Amino acid sequence: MFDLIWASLIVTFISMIVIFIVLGVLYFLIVVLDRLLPHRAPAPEQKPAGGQNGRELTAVIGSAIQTYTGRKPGKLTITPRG
Amino acid sequence: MEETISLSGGLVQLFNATGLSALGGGQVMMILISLGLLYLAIEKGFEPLLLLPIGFGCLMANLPLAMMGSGDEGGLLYYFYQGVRHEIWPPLIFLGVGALTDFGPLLANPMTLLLGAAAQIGVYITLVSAVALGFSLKQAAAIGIIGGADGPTAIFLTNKLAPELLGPIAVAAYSYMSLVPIIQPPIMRWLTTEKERKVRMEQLKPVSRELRIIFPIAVTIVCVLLLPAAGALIGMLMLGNLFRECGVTKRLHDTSETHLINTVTIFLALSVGSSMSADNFLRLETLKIICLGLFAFGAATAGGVLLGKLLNVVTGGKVNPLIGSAGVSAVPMAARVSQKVGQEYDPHNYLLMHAMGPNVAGVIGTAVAAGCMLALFGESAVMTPGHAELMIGKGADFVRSIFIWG
Repeated sequence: MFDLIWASLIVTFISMIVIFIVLGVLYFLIVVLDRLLPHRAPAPEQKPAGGQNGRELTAVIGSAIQTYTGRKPGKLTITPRG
Repeated sequence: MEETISLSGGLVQLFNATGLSALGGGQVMMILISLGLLYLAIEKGFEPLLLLPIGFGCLMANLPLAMMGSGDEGGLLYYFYQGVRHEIWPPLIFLGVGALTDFGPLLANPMTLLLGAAAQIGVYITLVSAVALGFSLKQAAAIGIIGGADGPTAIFLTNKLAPELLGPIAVAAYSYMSLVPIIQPPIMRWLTTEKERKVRMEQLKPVSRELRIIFPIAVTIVCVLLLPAAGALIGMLMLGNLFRECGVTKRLHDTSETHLINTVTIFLALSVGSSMSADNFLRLETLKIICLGLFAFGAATAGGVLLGKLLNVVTGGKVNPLIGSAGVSAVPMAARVSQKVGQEYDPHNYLLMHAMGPNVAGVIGTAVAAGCMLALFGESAVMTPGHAELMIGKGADFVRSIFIWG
C-alpha cells in the first residue's frame, strides 16, 4: 500500500510539472503572438461622399464648371414666365 | 404433430416472457436510483441536459430482458455505447465546447493559464487519496479526473483506464458540476481575506483576430506534440474554436455549437446511463467515488484560489484570487461563481470576464492532465502500467535514498 501511495505521489509530481510546462509554453506563445499580432483599432469611418453636407462635392463641381466655361458659376435663379 | 398448450402452462410461459420474472433486488434498487436522478434533473434542475438522459438510460438498462444495457450485444444502447468505448462521443462534445468557447479573456490575460494549471492539483490529491482507499493506480487516476470538473474528459479517461467505474464516475462528475455554486463559495471565502475579495481587476485589452485564429492551431501543435495521448480531446476542442474564430465556416460553427453537441450529448448520456447496471453500481466503491469526487472538487477549487493569492502578491494586488476557483473548468458556471462571490463584497466589481480566462484554461489543463495519465497508464503508453510502477518504484527508492542520505 505504501509503495502505491508513494508511486501516486511521484505521478502527481511528474504530471504537475508536465501541466505547468505545457501551459507555460502556451503562455509564452500567447505573449509572443500578441507582440507580433497586436490588436489594431478599426480604421475611422470614411466620410460620406461629397464631404460634410455635400459642400465639398459642390465645391469640386463648381471648380470643374469654372474651368470648363471660364466663368464663375452663378446662383441658380428661377425666372417666372408669362 | 399438433402442439398443445394448457391454460396454466400458457400463463407461466407468458409470465416468464415478461421482465417481472427476471426482476431482482439490485435492479429494483437501480430503478429507484434512476428515478432519483430524474427527480434531481427535472425538479431540482441539476445539470438536466445530462442527468436526465443518464437517469433514463439507467432506467432502461435495468429493466430486465429489454436488452438495453451497455453490455447487451444487439440492444440499441449497446450500439450507442460503442461511441464511448471507441472514444467518439467525448471528442465530439469537445468540438461543440470549442465552438462555444471564447478564448478572448485567456488571450487578453495569459497569466490566467497558470490558474487553470494550479486547479489540476485537485485531480492528483484525489488520485493519492483514492490509492490510499484501496483503488488501483489506474482506477485512482480515473477517479481523480472528477476534480477537473469536465464530464467528457472524465468519461474519456475512465473508459480507457477503468471502464468498470464509468457509471459512478460520470454520475459523480456531472452531479458535482451542478453543485459548483454550493461547493465552491465556502472554500473561496475560507481561503481569502475580505481585502482580496474586493480587488478590482483592470479591464481586459482587446485581442486581434489573427491571434484568435492562430491560437487554436498553435495549441493543437504544441499540446499534441508534447502529449499525443491528449490529441483527440485537444484537437477537437481547438477545431471547434477555429470554426468559431476563422469567420469563414459559419455553418460548421453553428452546427457544432448547437445541433451536433446536443445530439452527441443524448448519445453520450444514454450510453453512460446504460452502463449503470446493478452489479457495476451497487458497490462500496461507488460510495467511495462519490465522496472522493466531492473532495476532488474542493481540492481543485483550493488549488486555484491559492495560486490566485500568490499571483495577487506577485502582481502587487492586481489579481483577485477569487478568479482562481474558476480554474476547475465547469464552463461557465465556475466563472459565474467567482463573479457572484466577488459581488457579495463589492457590488460594482465585475469579475466574470476575468474568471473566464482560468475557466477555459481549466478545460485545456484537464485535457493535459488526462493526457499525462494516459501517457503513464494508457494502452498507448510506451511503458506498460507494470513498467510504470516499476520505474516509479525505482524513482521512489531514489528519492527515499536522498532523504535518508540527507
